[in-house]
Amino acid sequence: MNDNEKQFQDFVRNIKLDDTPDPQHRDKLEQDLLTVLAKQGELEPAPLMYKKLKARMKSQESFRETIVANPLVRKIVFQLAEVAAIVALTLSINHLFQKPAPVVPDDSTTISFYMKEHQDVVARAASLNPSPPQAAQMHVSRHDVLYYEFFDERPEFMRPGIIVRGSSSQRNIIPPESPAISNGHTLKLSEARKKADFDLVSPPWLHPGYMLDKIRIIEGRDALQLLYIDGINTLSLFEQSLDGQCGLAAQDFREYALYRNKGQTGGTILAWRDDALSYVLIGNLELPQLMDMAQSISASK
Amino acid sequence: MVMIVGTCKLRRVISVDTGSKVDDDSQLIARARDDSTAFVQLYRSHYDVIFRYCAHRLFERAKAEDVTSEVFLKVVENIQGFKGNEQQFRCWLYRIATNAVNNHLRKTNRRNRLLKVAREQTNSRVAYCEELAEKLTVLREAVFTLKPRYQTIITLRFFENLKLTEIAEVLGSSPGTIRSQLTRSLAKLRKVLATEFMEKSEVNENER
Repeated sequence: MNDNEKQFQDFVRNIKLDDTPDPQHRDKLEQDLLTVLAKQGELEPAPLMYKKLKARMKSQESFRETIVANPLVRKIVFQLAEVAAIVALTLSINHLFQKPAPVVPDDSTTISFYMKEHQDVVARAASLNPSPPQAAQMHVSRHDVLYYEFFDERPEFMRPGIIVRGSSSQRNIIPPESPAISNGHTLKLSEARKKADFDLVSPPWLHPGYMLDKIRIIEGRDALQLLYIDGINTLSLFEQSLDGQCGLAAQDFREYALYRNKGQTGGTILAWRDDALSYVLIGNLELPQLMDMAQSISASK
Repeated sequence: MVMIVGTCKLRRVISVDTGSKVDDDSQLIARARDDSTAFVQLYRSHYDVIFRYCAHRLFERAKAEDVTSEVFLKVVENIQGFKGNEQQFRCWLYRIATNAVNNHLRKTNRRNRLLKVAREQTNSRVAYCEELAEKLTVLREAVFTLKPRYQTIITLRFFENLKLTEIAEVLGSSPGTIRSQLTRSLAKLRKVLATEFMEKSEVNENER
């Protein structure tokens, strides 16, 4: 023990602590532990069950031994196994040669929509009523995938979330060269209501401390960004008409999506749609708080 | 009635037992997996040690009792999977208790609250000795400024009198690492304690 340690030990030596165990607590805990032990004992299988299991295993073993011991039966079994192996090999070779792997163009990808687990989880939390899930696939250009990420949280969220822009329909939408938000300009709420092609929805409930700071119209996209701020953190609500001139077609925004934007400053992202608009809520808040906002918007419609 | 005793009297010295004692204890641990009487015997022989450790970590007996209960319930749940001798069993208990205490501290955001409670308790209690009560408060506040791991090392070393090798076994680390962490935590404690005493003496002088 060096000087430092000795010095500290001297310091604590004379300090008096009330650390005498209480016999009453000790006895009470002992009783509790005995109760737990007794319950554990009840859960263990009865000895009779062990005997039954043992007998069953023995009978199965003797059956196997009978097969192996009889040379004729053994021969038949081996021949059958050989035939089965040849059939399986032939089938798999056929399958391999007859069905070539699909060629996917470099600049597109196939996305499955309406993943049931994903939709259910988000819909349950947001109290929305999703339409019955139908498995569907579509090819989209990689440029049209705005955001794609695997979830890093609980297993039920471990599905990719996707926001797709552009269209699976015939309309061609040219993505802006620069980020959409940077070419917008700031509006007041009343101005935004007049200017928007759709009925702007302002969330009736906000997380405490947040106030509407500004509204930006995102030119060329029929979209609005409502920016809320609590002095330090920001929270953005993007609203976009589903059937506007430049927005998404209703059938293109097919997914309720939920993301944890782990590596960037975006925080949690929640995206959903109703009949007329698509909403994307992005903020450094926990999911339940974003859900509350989303619910208030859904309820106000 | 609660007896207040100096920690120096309560120091438990871990000694490496030899011969039949170790065999008996190891057999007792083995029997405790299936035999509740053996388990109770084992529980009784370790309750005091674990309770004191929790009390020294939390500085509050009610919380220490709660955490002790939690520790032994964990032991009941997991003793089937434990394989080892008496010494390893003791280390295992300390490890469970350390995790339980750290969880407890984390869950209830203890640091700040305990500082507050500590102050209130000391102020409201009739101090048996003003100087020592003040020292206890200062120590409590200083220890809670450390990281949970450093708190554990300090408590195991100075209150439970464990050797560095034993602390290393409890924390799943090497004795060398524990040695350097102990030095680091002592340096920090020294700094905090010096500041605290300085502040206190300034206050006293102003009061005069």
